[in-house]
Amino acid sequence: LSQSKVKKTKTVDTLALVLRLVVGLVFAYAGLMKLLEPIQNFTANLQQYSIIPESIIPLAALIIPWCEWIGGMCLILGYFTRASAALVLSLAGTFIVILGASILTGTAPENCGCFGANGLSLSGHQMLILDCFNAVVAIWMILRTKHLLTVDERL
Amino acid sequence: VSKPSSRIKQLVFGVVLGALLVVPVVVLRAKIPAPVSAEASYRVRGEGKPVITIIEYSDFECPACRNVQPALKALLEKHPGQVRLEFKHYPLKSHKWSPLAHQSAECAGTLGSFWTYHDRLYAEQPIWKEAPNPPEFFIRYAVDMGIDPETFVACLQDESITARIMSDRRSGDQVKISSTPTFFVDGVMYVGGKQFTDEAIPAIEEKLA
Repeated sequence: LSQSKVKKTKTVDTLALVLRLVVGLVFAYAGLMKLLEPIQNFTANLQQYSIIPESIIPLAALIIPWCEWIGGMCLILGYFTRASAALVLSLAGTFIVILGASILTGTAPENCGCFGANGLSLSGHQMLILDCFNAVVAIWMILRTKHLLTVDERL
Repeated sequence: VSKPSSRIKQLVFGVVLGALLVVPVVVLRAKIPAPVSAEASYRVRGEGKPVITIIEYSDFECPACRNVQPALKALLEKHPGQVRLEFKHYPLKSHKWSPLAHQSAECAGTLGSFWTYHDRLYAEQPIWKEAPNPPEFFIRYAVDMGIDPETFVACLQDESITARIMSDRRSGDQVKISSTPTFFVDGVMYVGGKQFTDEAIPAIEEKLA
């Protein structure tokens, strides 16, 4: 019984590691693709969403890609793992609200623009599902006290 | 509670990681080139020695590109000789008739009627893009401008004209165009009609005041 419990714990730990890497990669990729383009591209992308107040768009266009890139990489490396997961959760939560509102009002653009102009092209619906998945994984990462292969445990 | 030595290690790692994540991105961003303005071209509007140069990357089948045309035209009319506009082809892959529309405009340009043709394509965009056979419209527009239809149709097959359009498109990709219309006003990028009317035009007006 004890052996099976150990095996189960190992499986859960490995699953948590894989999901952490997946979500980290999604955010790091999304941020990097946007950062390698002029900021005006992402600004124009945000301007498509009427729910976002115009006054915060320039600042949001500047900050969001960096948060995605750094938050995603920290999650992958396991550096301040739970704090990184909290950052990712706050981003995913914001995206869920924005995408959800645009879908409900029928104003969702064909390409959500979440991965820049040259990255993966996903519709608002597809990205909403991905963000819900990201949010659930991020919550799990925050609740877990043990994480495999992290910089945190080595420092 | 972590030990002081552990905190120092965390801090040092954070600084190194921050530098590794930020510096390469900043360097790569700085390498995005600015668009090159043509010295002389039939795709340039604005005579004399202009104060402001606008480079417009546009697609003839894109509604947003059509919608911004009145504001652009009004700006040029308000400041004759002070604003230079250069049109660059950026046919979007998602638009079925865009490549032929751009080829038609470029052919009209080589035959001396680029801007008249350009204006008509945008003015009648909702008509031809919904029509069962848009090429008929493209040929008719050329004929209306006094262009010989046979010469025009032969030009539509001319690969050197297509190459010129694709060269514009590649230059747009190099400067990281994500959508049309995209403008460069004295090198400053404005994406979409909203950024152009809300930000670029006031900035131009201020400079010319």
